[in-house]
Amino acid sequence: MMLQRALPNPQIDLPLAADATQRFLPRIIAFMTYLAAIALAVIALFSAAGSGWRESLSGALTVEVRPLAADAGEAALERRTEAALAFLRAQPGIARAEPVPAERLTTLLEPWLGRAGGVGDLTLPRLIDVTRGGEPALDATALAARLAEAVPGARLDDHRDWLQRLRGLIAVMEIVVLGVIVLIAAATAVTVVFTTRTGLAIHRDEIELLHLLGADDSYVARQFARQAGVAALLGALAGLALAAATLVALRLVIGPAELAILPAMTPTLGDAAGVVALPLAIVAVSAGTAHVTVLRTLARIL
Amino acid sequence: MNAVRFSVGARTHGGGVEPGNDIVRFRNVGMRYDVGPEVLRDVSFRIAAGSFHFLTGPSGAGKSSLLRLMYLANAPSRGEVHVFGRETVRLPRREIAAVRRRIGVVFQDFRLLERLSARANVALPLRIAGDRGSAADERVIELIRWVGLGEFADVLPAQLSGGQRQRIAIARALITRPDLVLADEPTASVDDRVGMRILHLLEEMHRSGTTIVVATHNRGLISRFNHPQIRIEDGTLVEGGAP
Ligand SMILES: Nc1ncnc2c1ncn2[C@@H]1O[C@H](COP(=O)(O)OP(=O)(O)OP(=O)(O)O)[C@@H](O)[C@H]1O
Ligand SMILES: [Mg+2]
Repeated sequence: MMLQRALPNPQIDLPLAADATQRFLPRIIAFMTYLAAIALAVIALFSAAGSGWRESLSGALTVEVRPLAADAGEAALERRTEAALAFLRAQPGIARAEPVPAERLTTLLEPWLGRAGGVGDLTLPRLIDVTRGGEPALDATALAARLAEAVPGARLDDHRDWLQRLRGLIAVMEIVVLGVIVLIAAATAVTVVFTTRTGLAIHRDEIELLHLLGADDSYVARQFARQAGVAALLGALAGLALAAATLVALRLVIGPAELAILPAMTPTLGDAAGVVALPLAIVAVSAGTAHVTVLRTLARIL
Repeated sequence: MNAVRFSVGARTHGGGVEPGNDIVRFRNVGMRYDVGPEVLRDVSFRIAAGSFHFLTGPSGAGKSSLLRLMYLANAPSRGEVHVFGRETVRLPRREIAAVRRRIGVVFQDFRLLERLSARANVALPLRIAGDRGSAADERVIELIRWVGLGEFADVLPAQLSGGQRQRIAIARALITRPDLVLADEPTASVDDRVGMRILHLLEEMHRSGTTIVVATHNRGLISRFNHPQIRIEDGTLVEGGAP
């Protein structure tokens, strides 16, 4: 890139930066970094969403009181809801049991059912928020059975199934994304190997001169490693900047309804560490690959 | 001619280089390039520590090839080449590099790095030897002045004349104060006045204990110095070299 030629590296004797292949390297690495950063952002988003949901749900239970065919209108549903509330409040291990106001339910369903209603003639189930607390700890399975018996149409949901499936899904996503990142790292390394071999061929005479002046292979390898490191740093920073711009743009484009199901994305210390670690890892992979490639190639051809 | 003198000073290396030892010893050496014919045959000679030899012979006789064996750029196809008392064929790669760092070579075709300034070219052997810092920088500029190119220190080789490039190549060969200097036609591109200056510089190195071999067919210059000659013709030794 321009910057690279404007600042000739005083540590590098070989004019590597001018090679066409070397000038290509920061661009490829920028692209790879971009992909890796987006992949990592996806992972971070999902595990933040997962733990956010887990946290808000693990202490909470929900009781759903469904309308029954036998109910004579809203009043019967109301009576059964009161019964369920009374039952729940009498249980040890439950700190609070509060009905979810009907308006909140309508608001929650709005994105799916539309604002204008259609909800009107539909009898919605009643929901009760239950918070665990107190001794002895609550046995959700036993409670669910007793509740169903005491109040017909009442069902206790401790979200465990859902949480388990969510956890499984997030684990699979993380493995897939990590696999993608490994592939990106491998592709970067292969590119650096190719660039380095080409550089060794282009600068054959100059490298022979360095050898004749007493340089050992690692002196030559360091030159290529430095060059690859500089190229990787420039590329990684550019790729990271592009990825950040993309994420900001996405945030602006995504509507509030979609945001509602995602947790508030406040960057954590871990995210900040990732932002620093990614370019460093890419520089290390590139420089290390160049170094090893030079040592191996020189040992073979000389 | 030039007020600045290059101080030769104490050498950094010097192990096994007491006078009387052989710095270079060839025994029945043959050499070929790849699968070509032998360009050197049955060459035996020795070069004592602290000596100054002229290597002479007609064009194509094998002078440059002989020097290539001495700075370990090529291996002999038969016979033995000893440098600093070490048999070169058996040396591992690392030690080959270490031996080369004790040798300063003026290549017949100079071999400057075109993208580096004159100053950086001269400094290259110091960098390779891991000798950085301001003292090294000062030595580089002092030596460049000594070869008369003070104003050209920051110029690229492409902007120098043939003779100027040659003098930069000589400065590069001398900058580490090597134990052995091999100069291949170091006066080919300069007039006799500058040629004499170059030889006097080598003389000064010699007086401080450096062993010197100068390949040349400039008889005029040779005759002004009283140094022994090694003469090869058509790949074989015809004169000198105390086998
Ligand atoms: N790289 C090479 N590959 C093949 N043959 C070579 C090579 N270099 C030199 N030769 C051959 O080796 C022989 C000796 O060449 P060399 O360069 O050693 O001669 P020289 O005495 O240095 O000549 P000059 O005075 O012209 O420099 C010549 O026949 C030449 O053709
Ligand atoms: Mg020659």
